[in-house]
Amino acid sequence: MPPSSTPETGDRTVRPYADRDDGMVQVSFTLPVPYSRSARLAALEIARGMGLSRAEVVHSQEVTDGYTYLIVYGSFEQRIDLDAIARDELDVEFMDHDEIEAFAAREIGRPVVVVGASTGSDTHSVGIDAMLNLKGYDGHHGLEAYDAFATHNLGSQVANARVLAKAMEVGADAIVVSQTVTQQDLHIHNLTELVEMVEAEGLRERTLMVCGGPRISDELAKELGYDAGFSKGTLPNHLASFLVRRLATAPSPAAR
Amino acid sequence: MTASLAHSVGDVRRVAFVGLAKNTGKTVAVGALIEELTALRRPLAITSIGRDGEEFDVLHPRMRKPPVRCPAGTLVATTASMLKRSGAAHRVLVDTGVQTPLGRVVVGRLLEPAQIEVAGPSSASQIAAVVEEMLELGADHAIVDGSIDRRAAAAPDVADAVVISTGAVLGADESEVATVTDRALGVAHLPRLRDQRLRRLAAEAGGRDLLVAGEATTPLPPGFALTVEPGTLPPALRPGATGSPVLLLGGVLPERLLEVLLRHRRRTGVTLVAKDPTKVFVSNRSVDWYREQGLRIEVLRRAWLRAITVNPTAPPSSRLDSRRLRASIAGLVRARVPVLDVRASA
Repeated sequence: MPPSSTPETGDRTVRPYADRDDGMVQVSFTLPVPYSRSARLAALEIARGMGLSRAEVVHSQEVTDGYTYLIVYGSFEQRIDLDAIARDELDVEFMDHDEIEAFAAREIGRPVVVVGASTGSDTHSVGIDAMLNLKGYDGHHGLEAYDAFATHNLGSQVANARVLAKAMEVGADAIVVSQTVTQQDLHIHNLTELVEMVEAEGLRERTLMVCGGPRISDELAKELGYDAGFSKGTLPNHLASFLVRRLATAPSPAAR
Repeated sequence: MTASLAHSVGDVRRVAFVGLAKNTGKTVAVGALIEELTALRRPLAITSIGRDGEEFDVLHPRMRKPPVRCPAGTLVATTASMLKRSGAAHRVLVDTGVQTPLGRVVVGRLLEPAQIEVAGPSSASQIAAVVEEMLELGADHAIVDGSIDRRAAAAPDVADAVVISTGAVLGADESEVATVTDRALGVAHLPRLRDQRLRRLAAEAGGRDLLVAGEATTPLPPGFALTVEPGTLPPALRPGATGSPVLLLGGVLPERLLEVLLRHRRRTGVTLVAKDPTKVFVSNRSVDWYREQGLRIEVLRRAWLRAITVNPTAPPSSRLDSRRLRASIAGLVRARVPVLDVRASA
């Protein structure tokens, strides 16, 4: 947990911490302004607009003609109440590969069966491969490298009916789909259709459903009917931690 | 007199709202029903299979969403943190234990009128359970708000009445909106299977797909409807076979099954039977079109459509004429229910 300013009083409000609860943050950006005094002044104005006080430009340099790159320090003085944003027990503490294997062996005692795909017309398999394939992503092996999981990666452009049929065939504990959500309804429809088909087969109660992609938030995952949404910055062990913890403890929806 | 939503819903206890797309005015319709039932002093319960009453759209962060306002006494199934964040005095009565991406769902009673964000369980059976609980706690009516284009809440196991929301977002003009709406209504109004022997066979099949050809019944392999290929069609469904076979489906009726059957058109028709309309995934063509090709779809249990609401505006700026839109939709053969614009008739 991040240090709370006054742990002894049970205060669970926080702000950015550089030293002594000072609220310090660093922001960097480029302005379409020549490398000049006015670029620095504009940067300070932007920092003020972001609600930063005591802002100062600590670095600036010309990127190319007419563009300046700046780094600004400032203090974010508001406090955020951890209790107000806490999503109850949904906070999943991430484990590393070895911890996940040990946890799964102890709490579940059999391989967790996962069916994954990039569904519909989506040709991007990068996301699902990063999560599932042995090679993994950023030095972290995907679920295939774990003894804790029996993984079936169906690849990209997979029809929802095929994902569901595979899940039924192998008795999946979890379905993991990746989708590049755009502002068009198409991808959304594709994600909801899979959930509705799993419902129609009567399997929703015993199947954890996870979606992932660049624009997928918890809020969107909820609207789409999924149990969790994973976005940018997710590593395979984050997904793995979620799956084993939920399967081990949750009375629902993956009741067993 | 203009029919009201409350009037259309009548004494029905479990009402589900389904939007045919985003921005068809579902939340505004829910708000109108809450207001009307409140005026009638009926104790209410509300939950959402998705998320409702949020300030901004999840995909279009600059688009404001309509609020959900509930009177004091309303039972709400939503996450504990959302109840807390509403700032309204409330009492938590039940911890359902149901986890969602936004937190754990509880049932609370509002002790004062409040504007709240509602996010209930995400699955149909959990929604049904929490609705049952709220009715036992004293609500006369439970309102289940759908989500995006999710339909699971409209299943007869979950809701006794369904309100469908449609609107300008679905087409460039009134008749285009009516056409898309008609396609969805075709599924909502699928006829009930009457044959008692077939109903009994379906009940005994226990979720398996079953082929009935004359006196012969053949259980089909698991996942048959989902993975069907022309080569895997049982003999009775192949071209050249006679009789009028019936396919009793235990789960999903995917459009691909209809397409495969059509590719190998037979001279006599096939009847496909799904448990209820939420199991029928047909959108490329209308069910009428398939029926004309000899593929008749029926259901064991019908959904009870009670009203259709229309939203004549489509964000950001398109607007159709409310009266004309209502008339086009009411003119559909199937729309035997009131067609309302809750903003216009309010």
